[in-house]
Amino acid sequence: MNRSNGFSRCVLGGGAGLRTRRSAVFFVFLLLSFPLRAGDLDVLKRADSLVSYYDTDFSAEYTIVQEKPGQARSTTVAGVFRRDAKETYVIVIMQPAVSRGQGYLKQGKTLWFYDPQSRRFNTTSSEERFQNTNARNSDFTRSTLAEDYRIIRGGDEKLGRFSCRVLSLEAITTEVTYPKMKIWISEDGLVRKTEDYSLSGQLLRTGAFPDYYQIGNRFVPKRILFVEELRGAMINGKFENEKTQISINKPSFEKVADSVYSKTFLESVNK
Amino acid sequence: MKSCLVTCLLIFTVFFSVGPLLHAQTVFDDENWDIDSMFDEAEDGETENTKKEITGGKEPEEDRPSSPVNVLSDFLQRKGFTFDASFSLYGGLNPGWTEAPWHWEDDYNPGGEIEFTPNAGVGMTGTLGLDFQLSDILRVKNGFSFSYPGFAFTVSEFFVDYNFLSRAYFRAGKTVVNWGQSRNYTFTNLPARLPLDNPGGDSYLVKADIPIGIGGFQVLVLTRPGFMQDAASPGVKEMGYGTKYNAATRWVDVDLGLFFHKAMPLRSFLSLKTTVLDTEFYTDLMYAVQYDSEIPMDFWERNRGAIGFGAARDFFGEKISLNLEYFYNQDKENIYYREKDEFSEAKASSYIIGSNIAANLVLRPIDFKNLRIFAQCLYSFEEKSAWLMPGISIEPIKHISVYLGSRMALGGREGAYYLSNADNLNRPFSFAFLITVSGEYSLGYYD
Repeated sequence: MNRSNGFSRCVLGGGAGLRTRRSAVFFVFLLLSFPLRAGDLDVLKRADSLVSYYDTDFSAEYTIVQEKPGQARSTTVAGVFRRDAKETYVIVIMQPAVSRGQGYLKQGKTLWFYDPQSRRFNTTSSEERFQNTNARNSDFTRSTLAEDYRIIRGGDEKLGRFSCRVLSLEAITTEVTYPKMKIWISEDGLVRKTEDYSLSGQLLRTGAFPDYYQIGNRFVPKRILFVEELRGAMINGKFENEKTQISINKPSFEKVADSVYSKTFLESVNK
Repeated sequence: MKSCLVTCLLIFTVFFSVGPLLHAQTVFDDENWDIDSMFDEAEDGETENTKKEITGGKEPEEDRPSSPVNVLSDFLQRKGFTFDASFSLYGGLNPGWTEAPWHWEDDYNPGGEIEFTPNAGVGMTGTLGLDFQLSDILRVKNGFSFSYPGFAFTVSEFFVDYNFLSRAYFRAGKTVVNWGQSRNYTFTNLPARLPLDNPGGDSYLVKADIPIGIGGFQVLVLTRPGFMQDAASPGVKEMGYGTKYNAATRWVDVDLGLFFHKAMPLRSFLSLKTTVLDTEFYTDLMYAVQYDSEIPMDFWERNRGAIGFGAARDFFGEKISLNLEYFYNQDKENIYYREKDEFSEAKASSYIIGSNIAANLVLRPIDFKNLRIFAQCLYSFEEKSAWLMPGISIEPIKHISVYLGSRMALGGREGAYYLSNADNLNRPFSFAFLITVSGEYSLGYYD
């Protein structure tokens, strides 16, 4: 007999039913309080489409400033090259000089990085932090909220000068960084704010997208800000959160040489 | 005077270019900053969305690569250099461990056999690296190291990179290539193979990489000091020739390669790697054929092979890293060149015949002073011999790391891991306590 299974059944047999009923009541209450609109899925899809570029390449210079309480501010400048039609992107560090040439190559769910010590390519997870900042590798790819999440409730809310549709999302795949999200989408269809949650509902990170470049019918965030809710330090008796600011400059939709999206390119620019 | 002025200008330029980077302004500079305040009314002169005219802003009418502009060209066309320097001073106790970095001959018995290393020792290593980006298509990289004891000066790397129209990337000089996926038994790293009774040496090669999709095609010509009877005039037949194709798809990374050297069997390999549910799985296969032996051989002596497969995974946010691997080897009389690592010099080595398993465990229990507890175990079923190396390392203060470890050969006295101990007394146990003071610095300047 498997003791652990027997023990689990014993625990769940009595308490699971009551918890399930309470959860169902709460869920119905939420639905009645914050009903979904028929167009919420379209709003989400449109938000994805405005910042995903399937018909061309996208490249830009990202300046990532990481602030950790009690430590010196760190700044990284990286070139980001995206080919959304192939679910591929390349990130190459340009500054600081000590990290120049380090880079990542992502295709689909696989993320490669070149280790100059072993002269090999290793794979890592897109959930991992980018260069030890609050940004994740998954933040640099195209937006796939409508594909990866389902909407569990919606509402209207004012966010500063923006009138927003607020959607609560739950992941329908295990291959996302955050199982739950809450996003604010302004009337122009752009994501303005995000709250990223763990499976248990713990707020992990807050993101802000206050302004965008508009190039034709495409939009590119000018700035992205992340505040890590659980990571930080006590400074003068007050908890200070870790924060990251990403500034995007020189956006371009010129096609980039195919060789850039290759391991060979990463190896050639690496030390 | 003129050189002093140039130096001052260079320093000024470096700090001028680095300064804005170091002091990048952010919205966090406001003590009362709140994330929701970012969405308040825009300041005068700002608009919500900025219509930006970008370089070549018209959508391309044809799906053709245009000349690289802005970000990519800015990165590639910057001429400049990066200077790296590092230093480490290490000392400690190492009874029984004969591959200590401070290995030197007994002063009282020069040239004699060493029974065991001194119980305490010290050593130093300094490295310098120069990486020059001479143009958008030409780059030169040098690496030097100095070490004590021995006062050895070595050139660790010296190669040139040439980018031919972004369609082929060439590299030539003293450098290293690594093939295969295995983390413990690098038997598919065919360029590291050596002929029998050959001490090997550092590799000098010319290679070309042609990107195809994410992966690509590689060809190389490689030689080592041990390959050549006369290093001043190496013969074509004294070089090794290899080719490898990498197909990197969404689901699996595939390598297929071949390596030929006149004095060795013709070897080919296949490596596969994939990630499923956060676990990395990999497998390597190698086939060798002795095609021109003068000695009569049966089929299994002429055709040899090896296979290995393994898995690696991190748990609890990289607090635990585990790697397991199985390796079966029937490639007899195999020799490979093992590069220098932290605790042993470069040398020719061989893989044990038969079934082998390896396990690596790294624990990072708490985020404190880079504390790591690790263990490696290698076991040979054929030899009934095992190699166990547990250890712990920590960085108590900046630039100082402390290492405590042991290397144990387990099993019979005839076992491979017992006999591979260079200790003349064949003591199966060694212990090391090491303190390292180290630091590194990097300086770069690009147009």
